[in-house]
This record gives sequence, structure tokens and C-alpha cells, in this order.
Amino acid sequence: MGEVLVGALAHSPGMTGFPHRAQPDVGARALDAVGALRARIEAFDPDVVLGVSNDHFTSTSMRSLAPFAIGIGPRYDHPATERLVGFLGIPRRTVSGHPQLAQWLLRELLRHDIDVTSMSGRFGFDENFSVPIHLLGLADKPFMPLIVNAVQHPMPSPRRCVEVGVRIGDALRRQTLATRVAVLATGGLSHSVGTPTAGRIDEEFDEMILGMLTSGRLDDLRDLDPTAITAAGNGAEEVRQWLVAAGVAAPGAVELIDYQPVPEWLSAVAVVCTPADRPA
Amino acid sequence: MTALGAPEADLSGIHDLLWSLRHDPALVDEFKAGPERILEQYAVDPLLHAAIATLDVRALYLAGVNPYLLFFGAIELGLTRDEYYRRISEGEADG
Repeated sequence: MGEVLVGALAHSPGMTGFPHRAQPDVGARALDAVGALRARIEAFDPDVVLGVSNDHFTSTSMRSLAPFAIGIGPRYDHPATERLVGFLGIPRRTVSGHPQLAQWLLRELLRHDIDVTSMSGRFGFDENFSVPIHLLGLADKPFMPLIVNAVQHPMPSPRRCVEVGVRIGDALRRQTLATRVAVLATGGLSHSVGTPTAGRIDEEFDEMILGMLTSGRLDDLRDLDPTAITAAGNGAEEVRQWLVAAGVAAPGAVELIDYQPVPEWLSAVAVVCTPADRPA
Repeated sequence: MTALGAPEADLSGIHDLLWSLRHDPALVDEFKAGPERILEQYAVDPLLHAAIATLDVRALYLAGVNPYLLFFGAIELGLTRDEYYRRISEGEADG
């Protein structure tokens, strides 16, 4: 039986690539929250990490965009390109995958009518996973990426995201290939990239989502209006990752470590995790 | 028709081109040397030719081009981040 810890945090490139642009006290508080999540993960000592995020057209393209895709490869480029090394300020290296568990999870989800596709071959990370892996000290842990389409409409519904999370949580608790699995959702919450509203943070939206997550209101998360998500910015579509995380944590809930808007990093840094004494 | 009443452009070609610009540095040079041939090669909708050739990112955004691909592609073609956001916000009430 696998034990599962669930966490979620922003993956803003500003956290590693241009932290100095933030007001010093604001940026420091945001990174302290990430540090608190790192301490929880280190105490949990996972055997493997399942990362849940979108790809920003670094390793995927419009030629084929799956609603959900899991990496089943043996290794990943972290970050994917030299250009991203400069942008993110993260030295390049390889992160190991966990093909055995990823393949098992893929089969298990398909067996339960969750149509997830697989990714293999050369695959690299952008800020989606490289920022969290770097800040959380996870580069030496086996890592499985689950890519959620949060970059181009049509996207999976909130209901489907929660359902995928619930199925993943069930599967991970039943498997015997890893004793402890950390599930880490990254991205969001409200923000915009490449649009006229870049830099705008919708704190009311963020607080609504965080309220639902921390009180375990799964039905409210399932019933989120997709147009309300879109209205909070194209980056807010990444809330889908948080919905997957909420499904994994169910019937438990995550608790808020901190929430700190950082306009200079284009988003707030929200950080949540399942309680230290009660993994999901 | 788009919300502005303009004819809807087929976006598959421009999306393919913008993605490729980010992944193929040689293509950036080829595009700068002669955009017409590349626009033809990637089957970019003629409705979008003038906008991409002049880096009118606001027109491309309003035509429905994906903002991530648009931002990354424009940066590859030489726009600075600040200039990109200045251009895309032109005419916005608070832009």
C-alpha cells in the first residue's frame, strides 16, 4: 500500500529566474512558503514524485494535444533547453523517470475508463517542473510527469480533472511499486502570459479556489465554471492541476502554507500541502 | 467571423510556424531573410501574413492566435518582452 503526500504550488519562472524583481520582503515570504513545502516533502521522503502540470509548448505542440498525458520514459531533460537554463537560472541535468510505476499507473487509469495517453522519447521540462524540482530539491528523486492541457482550448473540464485525481489517488494507494509517493501539482493560480492582462492577479479568484481546496469542497471544485477560470487569465487555466491534486487528496484536504501575490513574477505564489501528520 | 467582425483565419499554419521558430534557431534566420517563402511553406493563412511580417502581435492575438505561442515566437523574432506587452496592449482601456 502506497502512502501519498499531496502538495501544490506556483511554477512562476520569477521564483528562480528573476527573483530580484519582486519587493524583497514579498519575494522572501513567497520563497519561505516554498521552503516550508520542501521541509514537508523531505520529512515524507518520497520514493517517487508524480508531477502534475501543463507544458508550455516546450515538449508538446498543437500537432497533438492530449487532455492528460503521462510520461513513461526513463529520463527527462531538466530544463529542456539551454535557452530555458538562462531564463530559469537552473543548471541543466537529467532527472530519472519511473517507467515501471508510470506504465502501471497508465494501465490502471485506462482500466478505469480514464483516457490518459502516454509520452515517451526525448522529453524535457520548462518552468512547469524545473522550477519546483529545483526549489524543492527533488532532482535526485525518480519523477513522473502528468501533463494536463491548460494551454489551448478545449481543455478538460473541472469535473474531469477532479475525477482523474481521485482515480490516481486510489491507484497510488493500492500499488506496491513505491512505498511513499509525493504528488505535486504546479502552476496557477490566476495570472496571464502573453496577453494584455499580464501582471494582473485576481486575488478574489485565488482565495475562492484556495477556500474550496482547504475545506475539501470537492463538489464545488467539480462545479467550477470554466468561463470563470478563463476570466482569471490564460494562466488561471492551470488551476486544473490543482483540481487533480484535490482529487488525489480526497477524501482529505490540503492545508494552506501561504499565499503571496507577486505581480513582478506575474502570479501569486500559493503553496498548499496535505497536513504533515496526516498524508492523504 | 471573429468578435470584431473580421473573417476567421485558419490558425493551424501560424501555430505550427510559431512553435517551430522556438524550436529551430535556423528557421528564425530564414524567416527574417525572407518571410514570404516560410509563410508559404507553413501554409500560414494569407489573412495573417501582414500581421506576422510586421509583428503586429495585437492583431494576431485578436485573431485567436495562442498567446503562449505568440509570445514565444515574437521573442524569437526579436521583440523584447516590454515591447511585446506594449504592442499587445495598444487600445486596451487599462493597457
